[in-house]
Amino acid sequence: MENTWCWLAARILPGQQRFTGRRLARSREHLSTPQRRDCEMRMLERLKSTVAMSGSLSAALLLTLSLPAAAQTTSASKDGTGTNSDALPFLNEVFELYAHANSYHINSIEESTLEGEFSRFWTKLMHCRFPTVRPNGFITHPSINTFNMRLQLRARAAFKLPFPA
Amino acid sequence: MSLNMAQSTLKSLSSLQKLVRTAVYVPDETIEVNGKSIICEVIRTEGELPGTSAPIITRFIFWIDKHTKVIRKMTEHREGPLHPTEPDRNYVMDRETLFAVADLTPTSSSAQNFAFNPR
Repeated sequence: MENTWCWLAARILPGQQRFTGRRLARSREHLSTPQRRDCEMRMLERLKSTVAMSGSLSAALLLTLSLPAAAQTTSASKDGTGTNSDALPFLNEVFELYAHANSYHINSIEESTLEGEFSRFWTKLMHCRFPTVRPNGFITHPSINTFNMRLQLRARAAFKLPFPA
Repeated sequence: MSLNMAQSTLKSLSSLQKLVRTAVYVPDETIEVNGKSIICEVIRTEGELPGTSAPIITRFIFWIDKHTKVIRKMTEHREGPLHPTEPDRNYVMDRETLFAVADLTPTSSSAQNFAFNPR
């Protein structure tokens, strides 16, 4: 066991001569038993301090590597370039606002195209809606019927020819 | 009928949640609506249309008013076999919606709760 520690010490200690187990044993041949023991004890002490130092270095390295990641996580809204990978919580909050709205007034213009290999459809819709949901649960409509307020300009279709003209 | 119509706008907007799998912020933009400049958070999303045999990718971009948190503009892009009767043909759909007016009043918690007042 002690030989193993000595071998490890010789391999790990920085700036020292690179002993192999055999060379270390040979270098101790001329020493008496107490001297050998003393040598081994000193080697073990140095090994312990080196292991402790390398442990703290590893911890410092890990901390350094993890700092940018932590900084990225804490800047939940946006980074310097105005982009971020996690907008889902905010978007869900917006959808919840719509799902639980008490009353609303929304006017919108919607334009869409559907394009296939041989066809193209264009649609433009205007929506004008303002029903109100009262706190007592009743839904009331203002005097204008929402259905009549809906203006549709529908289906301007321009068909493409499958063959060149 | 009118009840359904009244709720359909809010439902259709809140149900877009199902079509969003990932969402990322892109730089803020100022858009012009009814001659008014509105500073918006811009969010780009990607997801798949549920319940279709072939995968149909759906991408949205939302412009959300920074102050009121309502959607002022949105674009949608779908690609794939969008026509159910023609599963082997690819279509591309683009839709842009501009909300000229978007006023919402959130439900207060007191209105949601049932209150029992015995006499």
